[in-house]
Formats: sequence, structure tokens, C-alpha cells
Amino acid sequence: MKYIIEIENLTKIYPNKFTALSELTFKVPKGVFGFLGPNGAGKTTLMEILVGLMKPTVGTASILGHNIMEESIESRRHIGYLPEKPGVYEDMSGFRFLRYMGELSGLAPSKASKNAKETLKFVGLNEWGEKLAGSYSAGMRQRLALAQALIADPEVIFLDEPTANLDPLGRDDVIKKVKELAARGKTIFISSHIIPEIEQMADHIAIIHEGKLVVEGSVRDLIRRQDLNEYKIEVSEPEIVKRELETRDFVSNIRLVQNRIFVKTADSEMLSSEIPKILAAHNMRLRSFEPIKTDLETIFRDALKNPHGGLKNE
Amino acid sequence: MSSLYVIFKRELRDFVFAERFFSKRFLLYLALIFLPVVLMAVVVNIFNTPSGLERISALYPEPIIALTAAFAMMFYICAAAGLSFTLVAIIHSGNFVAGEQTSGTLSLLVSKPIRRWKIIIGKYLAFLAILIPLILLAVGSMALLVYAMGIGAVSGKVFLGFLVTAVGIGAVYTSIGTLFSSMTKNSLMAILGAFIFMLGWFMFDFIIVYLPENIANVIKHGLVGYHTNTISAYISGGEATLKMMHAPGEGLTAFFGSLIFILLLVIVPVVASVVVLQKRDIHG
Repeated sequence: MKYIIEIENLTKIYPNKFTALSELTFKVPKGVFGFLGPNGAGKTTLMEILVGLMKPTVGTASILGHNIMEESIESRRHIGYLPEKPGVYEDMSGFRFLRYMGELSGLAPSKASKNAKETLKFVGLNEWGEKLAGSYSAGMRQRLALAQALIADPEVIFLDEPTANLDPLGRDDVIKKVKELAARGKTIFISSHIIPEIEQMADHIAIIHEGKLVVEGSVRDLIRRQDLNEYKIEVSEPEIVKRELETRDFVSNIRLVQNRIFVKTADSEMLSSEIPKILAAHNMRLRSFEPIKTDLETIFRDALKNPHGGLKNE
Repeated sequence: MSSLYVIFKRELRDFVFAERFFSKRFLLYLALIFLPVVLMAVVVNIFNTPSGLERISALYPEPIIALTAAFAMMFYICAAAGLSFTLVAIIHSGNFVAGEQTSGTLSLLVSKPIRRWKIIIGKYLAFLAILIPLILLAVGSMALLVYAMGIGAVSGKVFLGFLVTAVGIGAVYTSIGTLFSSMTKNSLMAILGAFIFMLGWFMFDFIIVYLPENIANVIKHGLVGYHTNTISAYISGGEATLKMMHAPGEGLTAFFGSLIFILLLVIVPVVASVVVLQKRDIHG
């Protein structure tokens, strides 16, 4: 199966008429998939629809080929879910909580017990398994909640802002665990607004803004495509070069910032050949000419600034 | 293993036991349910000790009045028992769904491969599996105390009637609490809503006597108290009560009518809460 999750024309309108998601369509391949967007963009809404907490107003989605509406139980059999603000049963020990979650996921009691022990070890809580969850710190609760998402060894794991309430060490730990899970062949759908973290983990991303998809694709491709777009030029008389470049068709955007010219172009070869000509015509010297190194954060900012001209997979 | 059984088992165990001892919640419910038994023990003690009898005789020189006072106390204690079962039912069932939502665990449950109705039914059945034996114990203890008191004839039928009524009231208010719990995200609101609903029903039992007879005759058919009294009167063989409430010869029909009414009050809110939870969007 090429795609693990397929989302088609998904729209969610709340009873108060607020449109949280609007005609969302994209596919999630195997690996770590970063789902990005500013606060209130609709990330949690989509995740809650995919894990069966909510129903879409229009559209549909499937997980491992199982329609989330028509085969709701079957699709949930293959997933683990860590909500943004997970709760635990405070009057249960960590071990019993996990065993309960395992049995609810369809595991036999003996298998649930075995997995509970292994998962506690995986999240670093094996020493705390017999203690009441109510006595855990916030970070430990988050790890216990992550453990319940993994208890039945699901193929697809949904993590909603998994590092939001953690300290830097806790965040590093989550990133490490996500990478380990991906190495085991799991698909991890992870939502966040902390871009550098997603950049460390994700192979593919989607960015949504006000419920609409604005960017989608593999992280490597998106960065490469964006990298080819913009250049920084330093010359002795930037105003003249700017004026000259403004007349060229291949320049889509040009701005002057602190005597540096920033040029966006769809044809970098043409730009590279034209610059020496302009400089020669005005008897100027080139100080520097370099592509702007793009990171995910730049893509994210650009996407939000220009939501209708976003990058999407061809 | 069926997820219904998994939920039932977890609710049953965690309702009674904490990790190392009985749960605080169970001990609180136990105290509430057995409070009327303790009250009855106090009354029995007063009537059965020479010093107590002296005090009663001083208050009520006529023996028949003293006896009436004893029965009145019994009546109020039984009413208090009904109220305590109701409170326990409302407090507990008000937490069924709303409690999970408040604690943030509902989204975990719903994301597992289980049907939503099993969450409600599993919890409902587990609670009744504890509540019914507790009611049985409490009512049985009260019966023993009245027997020990030795005033009037102690009829097994009377206590069977009271027992069935108590279980019926417990089940009805568990269902009402469940419905309120599925409609709100806050367990306190659910408990408060169910409590106000219960209070309204109880109030009508008292208000009805002040209403014009034709209106009262219609309204009484919607009251829990009227139907539990009919059931209780029929089981305990209270011909006088039945005659007061219904035309002669209508006892059996009235009994079945009331039984169906109570069963509907148990089933309909539970079905409604399942439908509400099924249709509801759950936010983590």
C-alpha cells in the first residue's frame, strides 16, 4: 500500500457554523508525517476526525484502506492516539492503566500485561509501573499517555502536540522515541506548531491554515524547491541592479533590504546569466551571489503569508 | 475478550477497591446507604430500652400514639433510605461520561476499537451490580431491626415491596444521571442537573395534593412516587393502599402498568444517553 492515510475532500463545520476544515485532500505515506499549522488552524480537529472522536461534515478518509466512517472499528484497530491534553486514571497504577488500555484495544489479558511491561520500559517508566498514575509528574503522565497509544503495537500512531507540555529534555526524549518508532516501520502522524522539532523528525509534511491545505510534500523536495527560488545579491550599487532586474520577466519578486537585493525567480539559470551582464553594463563589482538557504520554518512562514500560492505535490 | 466485559470488570473493581484498600468513593457510598440503617438502629434502641420507653411514654402517654410515632419514624427513615439510594445513584452515574471527559480519558476510550454504547452499558451494569447488593444489605438490615423492635407484625412481603421499590428507584436515577452525564462535559453539572430533575419529581409528589383533582389525576401518572407506591403496595399486599390509589379489582393491571412505567424510565434515558454519546463530537 503506497499511502497509509488518504484524506478526501474533508470538511468540518461545527454547530456554531465555524468551518474548522475546508475540503482537505491529501495522502500520507509511510514514515513520519508532520502536520503543521498555527494555533486554531484545524490540526486537532483533523486528528480527532481520523481517530474517531468526531465525524466530518463532508468528505471521508481511510486508514490502511479502512474507511474511518464505514469501517470505524477496523480503522481504529490499527491506530494509537495521544491527545494534546491526555488524561490518565489517577487511581490506577501505570501498569494497570496500560493493561486496561491494551485490553480495550483487543489484546488478551496476558498479552496486554506483557505489552504493558514492555511499553513502560520503552517510555522509561518501568520503575514507576506499580505507582499510582496520580502521583506522576506532568512529564511522566505524558510518557504514560504515549505508552497507552503504543500498547497494542499499532501501525499508525497519531501524536497531537506531543511535546507541548514538556521541558527540553522531555522534548528530546519524545523526538528520539518518534525516530525509534519510525525505524520500526511505524507511520507517525504528528501535529505541532514547533517547526524545528518537526524538521528533525518528519519525512513529509502538510501545512494547513484556517482549515485549508496550503503546503504539502516531502520535506526534502519542499526545501529544494524553495531553495531554488530565492537569491541574495550584494553589489556596490544595489538600487541600479534592482531597477534593472525589475524589468526582467523571470523575476517574480524583488526587494532591497539593508543594501542587499533579494530576488525570487522561477528561472535561476537566467538570473545567473543576467547578473554579470548588468554588472558589466554599469561597471559594478559583485560582492556576493548566493541562494537563500531555506528551512521548514521559512516554508511555514511563506505558506501562511501567501496561503493561496502554496507548494503542493504535483 | 469483549470490550463490554473489560469496561464492566474495570468499573466493578475500581468502584470498590483502590490499589491498596477500598476506594474512598465506595466508602462514602457505603456511609450514605447505611446512614438510614444507623438511624433505624437508634430508633429501635429507644423503643427497646426501658429508659427509652420511659422517655417515649412521658412524651406520648397513650400507647397507641407512641406506636404511631414509632411508625412515623419508620416511614421517614424509609424515605431517607430512598433518598440516600437516589443520591448515590445520581452522584455515581453523573460521572459515567462527564467524569471521563473532565479527566481527559474519554478521548482515549473513544479512540480505542470499541463501540461507544459499550462504555455506557459497561459502566451502568457494573454500578448496578454493586448498588443492588448494597440496597439488599441495607434494606435487609432495616428489616432485621424492625423485627428486633417487635412493634406490629413484620411482613416479608412489606420488605420485599420496599426492596423492589428501592432497586427501582436506584435504577431509574442511575439512568437519569447517565443521561445528564452524556449531555455535558462537566460531571458537577451532570450531577446538579440530575439532582434538580429528581427534586422536581419529588416536589410534585407533595404539590399534587394541592392541585384540582382532575389535573392531579393526570399528573400523578407521570410521577415516580405514584408508580413505586403502586408496585410496593401490590407486592406487600397492601389492599387498603391499592384501593386508595385505584378502583377495586384494578390492582394487577395497575401493578403491571407501573412496572412498565418504571422499566421505561430505566431503559429510555440509557438509550437516549447512548444516542447522545454516539452523535456527540468528543474533544480531547
